[in-house]
Order: sequence, then C-alpha cells, then structure tokens
Amino acid sequence: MSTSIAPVESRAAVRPPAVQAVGLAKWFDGAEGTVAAIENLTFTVHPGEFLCLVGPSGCGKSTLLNIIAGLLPASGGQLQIYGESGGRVRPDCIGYVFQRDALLPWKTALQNVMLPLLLRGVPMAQSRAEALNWVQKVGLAGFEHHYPSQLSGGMRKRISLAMTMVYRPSIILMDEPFAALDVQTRHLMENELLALWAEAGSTILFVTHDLEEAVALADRIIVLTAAPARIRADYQVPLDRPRDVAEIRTSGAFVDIYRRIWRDLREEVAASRGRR
Amino acid sequence: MAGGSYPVAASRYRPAAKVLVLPVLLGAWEGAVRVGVLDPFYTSSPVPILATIVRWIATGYVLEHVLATLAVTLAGLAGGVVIGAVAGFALGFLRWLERVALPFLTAANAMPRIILYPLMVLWLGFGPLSRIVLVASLVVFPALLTTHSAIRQVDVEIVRNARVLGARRLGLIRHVYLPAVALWLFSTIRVTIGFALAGAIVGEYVGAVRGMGMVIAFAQSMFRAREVLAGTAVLLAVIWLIDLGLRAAEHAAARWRLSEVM
Repeated sequence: MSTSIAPVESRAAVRPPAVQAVGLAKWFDGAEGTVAAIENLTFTVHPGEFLCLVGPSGCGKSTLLNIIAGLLPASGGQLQIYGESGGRVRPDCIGYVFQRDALLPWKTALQNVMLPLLLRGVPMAQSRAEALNWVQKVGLAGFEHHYPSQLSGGMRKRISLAMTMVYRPSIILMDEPFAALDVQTRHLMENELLALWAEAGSTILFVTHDLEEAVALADRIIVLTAAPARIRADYQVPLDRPRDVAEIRTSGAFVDIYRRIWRDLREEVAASRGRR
Repeated sequence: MAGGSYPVAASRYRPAAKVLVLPVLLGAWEGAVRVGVLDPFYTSSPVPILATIVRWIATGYVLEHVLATLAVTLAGLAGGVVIGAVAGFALGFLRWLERVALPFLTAANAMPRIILYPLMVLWLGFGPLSRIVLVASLVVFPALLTTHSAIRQVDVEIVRNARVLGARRLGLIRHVYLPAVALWLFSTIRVTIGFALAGAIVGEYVGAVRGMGMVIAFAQSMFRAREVLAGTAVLLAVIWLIDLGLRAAEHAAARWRLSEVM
C-alpha cells in the first residue's frame, strides 16, 4: 500500500510486523458472569506469511479474527496492524473471508466482486474491468451474470475469494473458508488459494480446526488452547513450495510435522471436550 | 433450475378451469334475470352493465373519474409508502426510538383508520387532499412495520461482510438494506393497494365532485343498480391491471430470487 518507491530489501527491513498482538484479551459479559474467550495472547505475524491458527472448536479463533478485522473491540492488551493501533476496521489493508459465504444475494457474481471497489470510489468502468478479471481468475468466466442462488457452494466460495482479492488487501483473514466444501473442491480451492497468495504476496491468517489443512497450507502454525484461547505452541512448517495440497499429505516430512503438532492439539481437543 | 417440472405440470390444467369460471357465472346471472328468477331492478344483469361501461368509455365519462380516483390512490399510496419506509428505516437503526415508538405504532396499525376520515375532512376539507391523507394513513403503518422487520431480518453475516469490504453507513443502506427492504415493500404495496383504493372510494362517497366513488354513490342514490355494478366492474378491472403491472415489476426486481422460488 506504500506509495514511496524504495528498494525491496530496505522496505522489507523497515516494514513493521503485519500483525502484532501483545497480551491480547477478550471477555464477554453473559448471563452467568464474565466468560473469557481470549487470554493474554502474544504473537507476531510477519508480512507475506501464511499463518494457520488451529485449536479445538469454540476456542475463540473466530473471535480473534473479528478483533483483528476491527469488528469486535479487544477487552485488554494491544494490537498493532503494520505498527498502528486502534480498534477501527481498516478496510483497505484487511480482507476477511467468512466460513459461510456472505455474498449479497441481490447482486450478480460480477456486481458482488465490484462492490468493494465501488465502495472505495473506483469509477464504474474500471471496477467492472478489474472485477471481470478476477471472476475469470477464480475460474468463473461465463458465470458473471449469475446470482448467488444460481451458483454452487464452491462457486460462491470462489466469488467470495475474488471479492476479497480484488481490492488487494495486504492482510487476509480466513475463517474456515473451505469447511463446507466437499474434499475434491476443497483441495482444488486450497491449491488455487496458494497460487493466488504466491502471486499477491499478501499475509494470510487462516483459521481452521483441521490440522491436515493447516500443515498443507501454512508457513507457520500456532496451536491455541481450549477456551480461553492462549498460545499452546508455535511451529514452523518446513515444507517446500510450491505445494500440491493433495499430494503433499503423503510425504514423510508432512506426516512428521503433522504428528508433532497433533500431540499438542490432541490434548487441547480433549480438554475442550472434558469441559462440556 | 432443475425443479421446474411441478409448476409446468400444474399450469397445464389451470387455464381451462380459469377461463370457464367467469363466463359460467355471468351466463348464470344473465339467464336467471331473463327467466325471471332475479329482479333486474336490484341485480341488473351482465349485458346491460357491459353496455353501460361501453357507453361510459365511448363518451369519456368514466376516464375522468377513474383518473381522479387513481390520482388520489397513487398519491396516497406513494406518500404512505415513502413516509412508512423512511420511518421504518429510522426505527430499524435507532434502538431507543424502536423501544419508545413501536408499541404505539403496532396499536395504530390495528386501529381502523377509516373512522378518522370525518376528522380529516374537518381539517382538510372535501377536496382530494383529505382523501390522499386517508389513503396514506391506511398504507403508512403496514409499510413502516414491514420495512422495520425487513431491516431486522437482514443477515448479520452479510452486514459484517459488507463492512469488512469497506461499506460505511451510506454504503450499507444503498447496497444491503435498500435491496433487502425493496422486495418486502413491493409485496406490501401489492397487499395495501386494495386498502388504498377502498380508502379513496369511501372518501369519494361523501362530498367528492369527481371519482368512481362519487359515480357509484350517485347511482346508488338514484336506485340504479346497473350503474353501481358497472362502476364496481370498472374498479375491479383497474385493480386487476394495477396488480398485473405490480407483479411484473416485482418479478423484474426480484430476479435474484428466481431460482429459490422455483
């Protein structure tokens, strides 16, 4: 997003972390008193990194993304996005793909993808051209004028992805985006996501409870504890890129790292079950 | 898209029955009068009624009155829908206003507003304005309550997504709330247009110099059942035409829902 022209290396050196959380906390006031969703969370996400957050379901992963997106205020601690704090939505640098696609049902696929550009004041013709380009890029050429109700789940997910990528956010939050898809579609989408990410160079924070998916996609995996979410472990994923998410699952290195992380995750899943 | 077989199969049987209903009823009516079962002084019969309508159209008499009634109906309808929608938006966005005003509005909606017409005449006179206000008062509460509940029912996830994509209040209204409300408003208009027309006509029964209500009330005072029924038939045709137009407009505006409906 920076407009200054600087050599790549020096800019990378000066650039602050994409996301930095220090002692982040979130609690909700409910009928049965205060419930902590997130507790003393400290982590750093580097620019360009593909970070997966895994943890038992209901551990507060989505809450964390909502705080980073500015949809929820934090209850305590500090959060900086590119070195800037403040709890407001930063629409230009943050994209968010939800688990359930939230396309506008009264707009066509193309109109949906155009929306973020129009909201930013990009002229109609230019918005249209860029949106068309992205609809094609996610493989939906010919479906521009279909309404969401006329598209399959996988197609709608592609449109949500295009809708987010079209305004080139430098940080993309993804909350179990592929959870509702069948396995083949899912692998296809994961591979396409990796290709788009490699091309765009954005930072991705990807929440999932599926460890296989996390290992296949990520540079780095943070394991969160059962609620309230704290950091249980932080792993680098030493697998080469480019990857094919379907094939990489059978490689020795994959199985190795998967086992190590699973040992941590298993205990948290058991803890979250025991609590219910 | 695939589930289209049922409606198609059903529609194959409908037209025959639909086309027969009206001629059979009208034929029975005409026959009963000719045979002497019904007294034409009270019931008239289809052929002279049709002749009256044709004569009215030929002389241009009916057009003037239909237009007068339509003008009052549409002005009141438009005013009521616009005021209702704006108030409904305010109520949908302002929680405190909702808490204060909603119980009163719901009560007002349950009240038959037509009983307020004498008061409106007292304030605004016998001209079209009192009737326009009457029609608007019939339409405004359904429009308001529909808009309010449509805003409440907008998917939170869609709102969150639009906000993340960069929509602020105006963007949300334009791209999310207005389209979500529009469809509901269309059906409200279709439901309330009957009330609106009834309000305009009842208003015209008393003291109007133009309008189909006046035509019918005058014929009634002269004991002309034929003209009362001819006026009623004209109004039925007008309502039917308006509904046809509204349905086409609704259909065009709701193209995005087509495959769900099917």
